[in-house]
Amino acid sequence: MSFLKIRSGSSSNLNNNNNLRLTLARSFLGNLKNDEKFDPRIRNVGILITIPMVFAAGPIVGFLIGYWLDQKFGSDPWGKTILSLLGFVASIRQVVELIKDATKDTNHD
Amino acid sequence: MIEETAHSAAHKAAASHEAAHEGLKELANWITLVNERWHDVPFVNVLHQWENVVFSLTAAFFLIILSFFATRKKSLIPGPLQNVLELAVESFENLVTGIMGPRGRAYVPFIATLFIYILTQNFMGLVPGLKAPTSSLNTTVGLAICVFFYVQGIGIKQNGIFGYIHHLMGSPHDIVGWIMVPLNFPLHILQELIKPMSLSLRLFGNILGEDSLIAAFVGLGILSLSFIHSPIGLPLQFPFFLLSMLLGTIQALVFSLLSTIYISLMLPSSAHETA
Repeated sequence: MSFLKIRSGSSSNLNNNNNLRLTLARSFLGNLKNDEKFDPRIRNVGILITIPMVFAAGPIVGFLIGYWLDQKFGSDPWGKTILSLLGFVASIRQVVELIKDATKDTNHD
Repeated sequence: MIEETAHSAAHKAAASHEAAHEGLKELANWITLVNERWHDVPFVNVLHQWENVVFSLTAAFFLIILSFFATRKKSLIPGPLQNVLELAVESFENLVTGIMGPRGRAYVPFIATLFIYILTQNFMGLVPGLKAPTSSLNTTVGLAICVFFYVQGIGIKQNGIFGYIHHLMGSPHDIVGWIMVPLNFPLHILQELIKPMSLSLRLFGNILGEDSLIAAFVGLGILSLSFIHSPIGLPLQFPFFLLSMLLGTIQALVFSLLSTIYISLMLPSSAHETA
């Protein structure tokens, strides 16, 4: 750790170098300054990228719960069928919520 | 003959093993190699069975040691390690407060830890001898369950237990809203369960895909030189390392970003906005 000690020694040159490096790294990571909001486009990419997986996850979750209920109550095809459909509807609602959330911020900016 | 040699060479050198997924191969890690050599030792068998946990713990210990050294001697003029960590924490504070406003600052430690931990785990797949634990569904489901309980806990803490149930019923305000409760309630519960499922499936699928792709190209690189019995192959997997670094970062970011959004949806004012 002697390297760290030397680097953090208080010569103004080192200080400037550190500041410059920090600024460069910040600009590289996408205009992140203290008082600035995170770029909403990155956030929206994050939200929208999840939509296909939400569509897949809804029926899967519904099917698994339905399978468990069918085993518990012996209602063989109905639990799976109804809950898979409900899962699909829930995934549509989730997607609508996510899109609302993504577009809400874009409208503000 | 050549075909046979090529096949065995690819099989040996890539030393890939089927990780409970038929047909999908991943690169060998040090535990696989130890298991090949000392197959009869019970401890090695346990290590082999729990390899994802071992690599997850490796990532956790790595981060603990890194944080320890970075914060051991804090100074106003930061050293390189402190500088990098400060930058990461600051960036995450900006991300979370950008989405949730100033009240999001309370959730920065959890979300930043998620990001850094997942990023480390994803990048472990690129280090020879290590494996990305996130290429196993068990790891990603574990992470997603953490997020699920954290989000529900925040929902109960911030809204109160009745407010939380009111939120699950779709926040009904009028008579039509209350009539729709029997439909809205199970749908909302399913929606809450979809969140961890989609989080875990996406992370697992992407990382497993990347690892399998790299393993396939390592095999291809060895196959391409097997006709001269070369012990090493062409580094055909190199471009996919870069792709894997990009996608690993994106997936870690998306995981923490969505966790932030799920937390923000659970907070009282957002619940009214989205209702």
